[in-house]
Amino acid sequence: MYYQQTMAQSRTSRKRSGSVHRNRELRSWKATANMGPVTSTLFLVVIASVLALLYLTQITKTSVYGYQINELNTEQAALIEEQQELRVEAARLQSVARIEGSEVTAGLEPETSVSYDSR
Amino acid sequence: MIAARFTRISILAIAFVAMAALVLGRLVYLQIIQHDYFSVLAAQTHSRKFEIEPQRGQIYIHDRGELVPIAMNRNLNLLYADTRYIYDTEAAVDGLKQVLGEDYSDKLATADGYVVLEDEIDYNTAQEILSLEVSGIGLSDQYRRVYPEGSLAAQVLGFVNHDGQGQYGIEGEFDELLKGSPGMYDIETDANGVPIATSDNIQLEPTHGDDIVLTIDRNIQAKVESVLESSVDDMDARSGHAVIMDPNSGRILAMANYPTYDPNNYTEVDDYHRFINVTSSDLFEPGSGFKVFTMAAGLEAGVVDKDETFDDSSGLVRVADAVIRNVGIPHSSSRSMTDIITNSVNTGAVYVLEKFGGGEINVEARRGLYNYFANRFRLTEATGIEQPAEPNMSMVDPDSVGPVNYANIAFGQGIATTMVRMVASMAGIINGGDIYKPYLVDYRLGNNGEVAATEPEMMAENIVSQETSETIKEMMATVVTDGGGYTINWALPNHTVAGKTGTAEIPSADGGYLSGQYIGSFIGFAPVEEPKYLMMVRVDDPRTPGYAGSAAAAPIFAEIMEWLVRYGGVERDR
Repeated sequence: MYYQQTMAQSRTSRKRSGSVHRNRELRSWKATANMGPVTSTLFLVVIASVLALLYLTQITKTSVYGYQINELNTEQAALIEEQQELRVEAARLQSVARIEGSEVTAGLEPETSVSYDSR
Repeated sequence: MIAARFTRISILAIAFVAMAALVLGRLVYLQIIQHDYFSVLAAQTHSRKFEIEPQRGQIYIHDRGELVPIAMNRNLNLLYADTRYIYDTEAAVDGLKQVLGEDYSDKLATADGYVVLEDEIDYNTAQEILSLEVSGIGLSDQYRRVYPEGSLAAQVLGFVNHDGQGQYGIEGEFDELLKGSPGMYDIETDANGVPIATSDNIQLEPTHGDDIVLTIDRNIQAKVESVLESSVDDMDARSGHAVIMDPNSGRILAMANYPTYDPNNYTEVDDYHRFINVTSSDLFEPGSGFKVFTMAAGLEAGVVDKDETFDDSSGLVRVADAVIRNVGIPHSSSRSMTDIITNSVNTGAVYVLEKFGGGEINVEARRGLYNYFANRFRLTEATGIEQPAEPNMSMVDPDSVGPVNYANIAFGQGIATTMVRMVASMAGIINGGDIYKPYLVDYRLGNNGEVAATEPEMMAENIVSQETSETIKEMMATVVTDGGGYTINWALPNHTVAGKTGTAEIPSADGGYLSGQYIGSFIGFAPVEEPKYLMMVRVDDPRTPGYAGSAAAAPIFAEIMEWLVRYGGVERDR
């Protein structure tokens, strides 16, 4: 019984498809679900949205990183400025005029005590 | 009823359409008609394009093997206000008064938009101002040149003016090299002016200026300046100047002028002459120091012999219608060549000149001396030292003047030179015959770490023979032991030192010479056998009794050299 039903369905199916060939076991697969124009559009919209979201995420991230870089640059500039300030101050404090007796001269004994007159 | 409702709907519809038309019209106006204007406005708001200032190269000097910065940069800040963005003027005024102690209420009240409140705000003060967080008050970068050693080597260095231009000295001479070239920033920003990272941003890094390391030794320079200051003040002189050079390379170890100035406060100087490095830029009549060159020329040419003598019993010599006399020395019937140098004998210098012409100052004699002074000793050439405004010197044409001019030149009158020129040529005579170009830049440090070192450059070789060189050194040594450099002999009993005094009148602007005003100089070296230090000291118009060369310049030379031989570890040689 089951066999007869199956054969009958098969014949019906071949007639419908219009591709009946004798002695050949041909089989055509039919899509199980059809996607209409609305679904396709929605699908595209979803994909576009996802891509847009990804793009926005990247842009936002880049922007956030940009701000961070800017903050770090500002911080770096401030530190460089402070470093320069300290270097200048250090140089000033170590200048010959500031260091008492720095002048190496203090540690050198003169050969003789000199007094000058004029002739 | 239906007609009435239709009318109301129609009116509503027409109203909506009208409103839509208005909006559309406004959009057309803003986006199409005013497109260019708003595009520019948006670009101005969201994009910033400015130069990135390069850091000016620093200048260093030496201090016992270490480099010491002598010209540095300081990032200062300009304090400004934009009154359009000050929403609470009272808070702004109070805050600034608290930090700076100044009341800016009047300035802010009269300002219309941007106004500069203060410049040269230092880092700490800037931080305090920023912490106020007052809207409309801002700070912008302001680079300033700083000279941590104050007036040390001021004329050698020069300064950078408020426009960022190097003036005088190394700052002026190497302005382009020190400046570097600016970078560029072309970026998109948000509404607050904060940069946004986009691929359209362009940032070109600036090329910072080269650093320059000078040959100057900090301790020697400081000592020389200190001695000059005290001596010039004691002598009530107009000014004092000194140069110390290594005669075997041309390396300048110190170059000092007094009175001086502080390049940090150059605007306080009312006499621009203070900015000039007299040692390299100022022409002066050297006086008797030139007798050394005359004698070297005579010996080298073979027209006189070191053991030769001449009759100087009258103490004068007649040249054409002029009479040239000796000053302050007894007459001698048998004056030696060495004595010409020892006692600075004017008639002796004329005698050597005459020997070039076979006994008279004819054209041959003049050409002979000219050839040695100009072509051999290079006394008329600028040395090329790295300082601005070094003058070229000149010597009168031997074919177009009479004998008196050259007789004067033989003992250093009627000819002008610079201290650096004299020192460079003298080095050639005492080191065996090689003239080196004097140099101040030891090396340059480029942006990428490349080093450009200055190699000693020989300008002329064999200007005199080794024999002549030794003879001249011996003669100059007698100036210290038996002549006008006696103070040096007292100060350095254990070291050999040689030199020559010079006392010259100061020319007046209207011709002739200034009465009672002299320039005293002393050029000398130590040790005598192998000179390590060659120094020239010049004192303008000292009030010290005696001849300016021996009474004013020589004692300064003595004090500096006495310290220098100990500082330089020169072994005792007598």
